[in-house]
Amino acid sequence: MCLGLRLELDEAGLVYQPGLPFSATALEHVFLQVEPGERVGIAGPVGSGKSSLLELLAGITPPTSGQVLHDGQPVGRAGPKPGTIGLSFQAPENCLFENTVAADVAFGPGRLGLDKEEVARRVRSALEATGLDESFEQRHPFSLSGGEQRRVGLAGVLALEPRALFLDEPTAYLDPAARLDLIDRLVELNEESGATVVMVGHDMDELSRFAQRLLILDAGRMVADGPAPGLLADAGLLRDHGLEPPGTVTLAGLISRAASLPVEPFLTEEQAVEALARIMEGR
Amino acid sequence: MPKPIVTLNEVSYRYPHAPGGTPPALSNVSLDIARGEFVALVGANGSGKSTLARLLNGLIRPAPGEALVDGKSTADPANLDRIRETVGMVFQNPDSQIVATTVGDDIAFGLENMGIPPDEIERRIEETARRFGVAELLGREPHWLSGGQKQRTVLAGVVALRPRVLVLDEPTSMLDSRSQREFRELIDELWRDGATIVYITHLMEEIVTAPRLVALQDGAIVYDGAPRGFFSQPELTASTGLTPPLAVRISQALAARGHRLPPALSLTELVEAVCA
Ligand SMILES: Nc1ncnc2c1ncn2[C@@H]1O[C@H](COP(=O)(O)OP(=O)(O)OP(=O)(O)O)[C@@H](O)[C@H]1O
Ligand SMILES: Nc1ncnc2c1ncn2[C@@H]1O[C@H](COP(=O)(O)OP(=O)(O)OP(=O)(O)O)[C@@H](O)[C@H]1O
Ligand SMILES: [Mg+2]
Ligand SMILES: [Mg+2]
Repeated sequence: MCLGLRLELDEAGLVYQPGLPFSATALEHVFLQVEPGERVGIAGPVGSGKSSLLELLAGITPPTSGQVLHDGQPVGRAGPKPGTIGLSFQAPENCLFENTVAADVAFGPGRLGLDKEEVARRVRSALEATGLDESFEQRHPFSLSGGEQRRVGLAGVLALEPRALFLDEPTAYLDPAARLDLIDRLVELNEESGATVVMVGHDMDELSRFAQRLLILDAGRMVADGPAPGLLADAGLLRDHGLEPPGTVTLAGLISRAASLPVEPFLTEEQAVEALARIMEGR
Repeated sequence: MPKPIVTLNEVSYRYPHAPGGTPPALSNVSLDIARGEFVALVGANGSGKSTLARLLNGLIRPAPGEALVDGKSTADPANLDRIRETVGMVFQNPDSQIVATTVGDDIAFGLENMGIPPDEIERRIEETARRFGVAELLGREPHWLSGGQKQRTVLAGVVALRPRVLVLDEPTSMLDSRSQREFRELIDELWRDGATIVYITHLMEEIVTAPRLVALQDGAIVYDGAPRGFFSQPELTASTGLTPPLAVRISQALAARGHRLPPALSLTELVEAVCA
């Protein structure tokens, strides 16, 4: 049974290349507490600090000011405790280096002191979760398509079965069916194992399917933190920060204008169908 | 039909080190793209999209079959310089395409190779950097940029060369939705100015708005036509790894409850149908 990791940022800030001509402030004064087992989404425009925030929370990039805590303990320079976290970078295909897909996915769990059978079980289950059948196991990672490489990268992180998962735009390069599958897998994994899952995304429909809680970043500052449904339904807030609302929210706006009658705002597809059916039945 | 600028004639391709037993990445693909067309190329992961793209600028050569750009075969090495001037490529992974140590030099690189005079290079860098939102980043080192900033840098570098055919392999995969839309508007502008666009994407909004949709499945073309015809075939949609757009899903759910609507592809169409 895996218990989720508690994450905390105490007035954390991050400046890249401090003191140099192109020093960049990526994050400023971030306070944040993530409870064990939460599913948190991070959204924001290009360059707003999403990847930086994810890496700080994961404890793999030390902040230049403030503190990062895991389970209440400050994360030191040495990084998080081995085996506690799994992080999939924005370009995980750049992190593939073994000669076969199976060896690549086994690399992380192989260093956790598990027995061979357990590593093999995890490799198979992670490959299955990312939709790669057995024919991929002996292929060379560099002889795969972009989306296939991304799946291998994700499988390597899932195989760690960590207490907290950090995923940076994990659905980029995946085909639409695989995107939905991955999101559903992550939700399932979170509900079954209790692991904390934090995901950066720019597709609001995907974030809406995934997140219980949403953080919105803009220019290195956290401008919103709250239950995901409320924030995702707030088209004005999202647009103010360069984001497009989910399709259902856009639809709600269009329909209440066109039908010139008040329509209860909706977020899920079922609610949308319900609302439209009522309009049609009312005529 | 106007003269095609890109032609694939019964093209197949198998990667040199593909393990025994794996089918070819492309089999018997024929495709004509007319000057000034906009084609969205879609399909599941591994269906052959990037392979097809690599055939278009002679990076790989078909066997058997023939790839022609502006009437010139990619099989003749003497044609390759001209072909690569004609066809600008944006690859799937921006890291693989960044060559210089500053954003400005990266955009300049291709222009210098084409022998463009220095003051014209300056002008083009400034213009494209502004259009692609990287004007503030010109002095920065590309490898230290965010994912989306890298992607914009690569795009600016290719568009600055003003190729007549632009092949874009998932160019907006790391951009936020507003930047995605802005980028698409830029591409539409180039298209209206006469460029031919081949656009590989997994993003629904980019797919439904394309004038022509070509879908690949296991290395073969299984659909070539308007997006509307594609999404009216649920089995085809599913077997190519795509999901129906939101407007289609909602129309279908409404139909299941006895509310038949004219087929809607976009939310605007859906609203019109509901309120009609
Ligand atoms: N290694 C680095 N050195 C210098 N500046 C950096 C570095 N990494 C990121 N930055 C800068 O820090 C800011 C935040 O970057 P970050 O990668 O966190 O953004 P992001 O929100 O993830 O963007 P994207 O959506 O494009 O991935 C950007 O302005 C970026 O240019
Ligand atoms: N260098 C290579 N060597 C061997 N096989 C390859 C190589 N590159 C791709 N393949 C295989 O060729 C097929 C087509 O790959 P391609 O990259 O064209 O797919 P794609 O449609 O672009 O997929 P994606 O959406 O994942 O980018 C896949 O089965 C892939 O595994
Ligand atoms: Mg990022
Ligand atoms: Mg590809």
